[in-house]
Amino acid sequence: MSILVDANTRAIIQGITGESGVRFTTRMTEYGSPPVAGVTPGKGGQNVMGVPVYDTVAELVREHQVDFSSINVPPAFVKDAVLEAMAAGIKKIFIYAERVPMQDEMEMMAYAEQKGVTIVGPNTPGIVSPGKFRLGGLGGAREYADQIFTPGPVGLVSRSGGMTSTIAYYLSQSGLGQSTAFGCGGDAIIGTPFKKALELFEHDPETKVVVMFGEIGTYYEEEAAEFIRAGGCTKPVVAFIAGKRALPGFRYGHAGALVQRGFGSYESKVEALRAAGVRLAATLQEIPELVRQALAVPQAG
Amino acid sequence: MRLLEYRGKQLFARIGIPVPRGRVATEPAQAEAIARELGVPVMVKAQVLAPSRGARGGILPADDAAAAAQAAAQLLGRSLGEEVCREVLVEERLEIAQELYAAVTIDPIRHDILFLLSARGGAEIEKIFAEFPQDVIRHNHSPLEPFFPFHGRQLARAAGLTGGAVGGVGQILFQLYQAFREFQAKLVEINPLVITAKGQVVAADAIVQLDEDAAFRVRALKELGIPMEEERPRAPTARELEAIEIDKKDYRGVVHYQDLDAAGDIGVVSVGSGFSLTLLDILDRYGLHPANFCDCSGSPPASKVYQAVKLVLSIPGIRGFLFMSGVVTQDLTVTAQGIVQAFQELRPQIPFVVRLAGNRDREAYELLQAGGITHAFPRKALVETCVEKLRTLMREQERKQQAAS
Repeated sequence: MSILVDANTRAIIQGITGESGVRFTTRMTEYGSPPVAGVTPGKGGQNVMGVPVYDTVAELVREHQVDFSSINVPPAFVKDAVLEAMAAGIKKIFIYAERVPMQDEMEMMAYAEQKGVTIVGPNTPGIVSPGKFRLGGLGGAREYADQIFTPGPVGLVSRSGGMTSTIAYYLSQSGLGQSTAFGCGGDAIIGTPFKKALELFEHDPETKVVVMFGEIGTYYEEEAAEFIRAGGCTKPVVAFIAGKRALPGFRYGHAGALVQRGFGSYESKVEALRAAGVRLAATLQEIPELVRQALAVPQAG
Repeated sequence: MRLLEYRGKQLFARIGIPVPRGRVATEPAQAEAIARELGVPVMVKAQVLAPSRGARGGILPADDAAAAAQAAAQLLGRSLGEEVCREVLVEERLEIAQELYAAVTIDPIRHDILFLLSARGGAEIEKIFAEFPQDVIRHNHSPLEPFFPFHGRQLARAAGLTGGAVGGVGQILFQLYQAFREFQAKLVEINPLVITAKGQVVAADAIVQLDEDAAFRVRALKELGIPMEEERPRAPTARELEAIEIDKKDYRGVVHYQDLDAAGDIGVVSVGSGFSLTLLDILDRYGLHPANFCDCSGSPPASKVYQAVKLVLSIPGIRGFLFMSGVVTQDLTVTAQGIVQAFQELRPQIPFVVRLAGNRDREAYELLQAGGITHAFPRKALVETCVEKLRTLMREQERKQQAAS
């Protein structure tokens, strides 16, 4: 098992003929988990590395079973593509683009909730269940990816795309492989933040411990802490929160100060997580140490 | 991106939100002419983004045109907070019966649309938020449901408004929602929202924060000539401006540079924003003080890396240099070429530590070594190990210098 993707996942790529679509197809194919099909309006009937291309998702789903759609279109067209995938009944959607308009993100997430759809992203490089499936190009060429991401018991979720690989490498170097590692997205509004990731990892028998990389800003880390305190995740959690030495930011009007009172800062996140029993790493090298400690403690219950 | 008040009011006016009559001036004579044209007592308001503008003396009343010129002369060119006032808004003075507060924004926790309304607003709003939060009406609205004027009237009633204010404020909330949607804002806020002696509801101020990523579809911005600029917490420094130029000249990759602590003594270039943030924290953990932040990522060409390294090495007073990546997918041989070029040209006499990890890092490591960079590290070296090495090298150099002097 793993979360989000496994060896049997049937993924498609919307925007498959574009730069990132072709790159995803290449990386996924070399990993042994190629997309089953792709979509680019106006290019139906063509293929990318042998993967058939359709004009619309509706036509594609008549020919293929689809579990996951990766949206690889430019930010301005993301919402439209996501709604197209949802209309075709696809239940898991991955959004690669950064710089997606914030109100589009807000609307997409509301639609997804209404329709029971899981969105991962926007603004993430990918998902990998080592040895089983890679959505996107995490780790780059296979030769490198196999040194960075190795199979094992650690669930890894990161708001930073780059830190997903960086932390996975620290873990793998210490002999700690990953069940699933993914970038949940660097934007303020994302579909699968820590809370949802913890919920998924909790129900994955392969995952024994969860590592999360958080950053200052947003409520996601605090929300995860609440979820753990409420008993939503009984597996041990190790976290690294970046931004202690934050860059000076701008204050946006009074509404921002009012609604963000009491969360979002480094201190707020660290305190909330610590109170929830999360093990906090102060450096990257502490992450594998804390994971090892967590794995050594017998599971309660 | 936050807009100056007069820009915000221009956008409000397009939706039909009542704003005081007035125009912006860049010279006292212009302010005088506007005040004369208006023919009523005016307010002269510094156009800066700094908070508490009124408390800092950035808003001055003027009873006639001559006084308006005087007020403008007083404000133009003056520093308010970190900003210099370059424009003043000259507008009719309102006869205020009541000051309210209204805002529409994205709820940072629920990610739906959040309306805020308080029957008390103005300079006291911070105090009201802190001490009487129950007096601020909050309403969450699904982005999939339209917001109608009746919703606005319900909120007005919930805030305790009566009589003509119910319909007047309800209508403003409806329009504020329209502005929020049409201009793809992150925040639209009016403080104070004024009810005049004659019972009119007028936006006496405008705080509009736009979404840079949605600006391409907001036609009004182009029509009004509102430029989209990157938001910065203060005026950019000379090196920050240089970095912007470096970044603009070549679209490949990014150079995101910021000067930090003036007392910092380590120049840093790092790859990836999450990693850059992490590296600052690790340096802090090891008692080291970075002078800058410089994220050089997204597969930049060697020339861009070269310029970024040169820029960071130009920071006066740095005693050490660090170029570091997490595990990245960009071709690191390209990155290494840029580093080597800058190193060979400048021959820095300070400890120069480089660690590259990720795509083609073996070849990159060889390039660094061949380029004469003694303290280059391969992927297997932990970030912490390299930081420690830099600290040791800096201490050694310090000892040598002390011994020499």
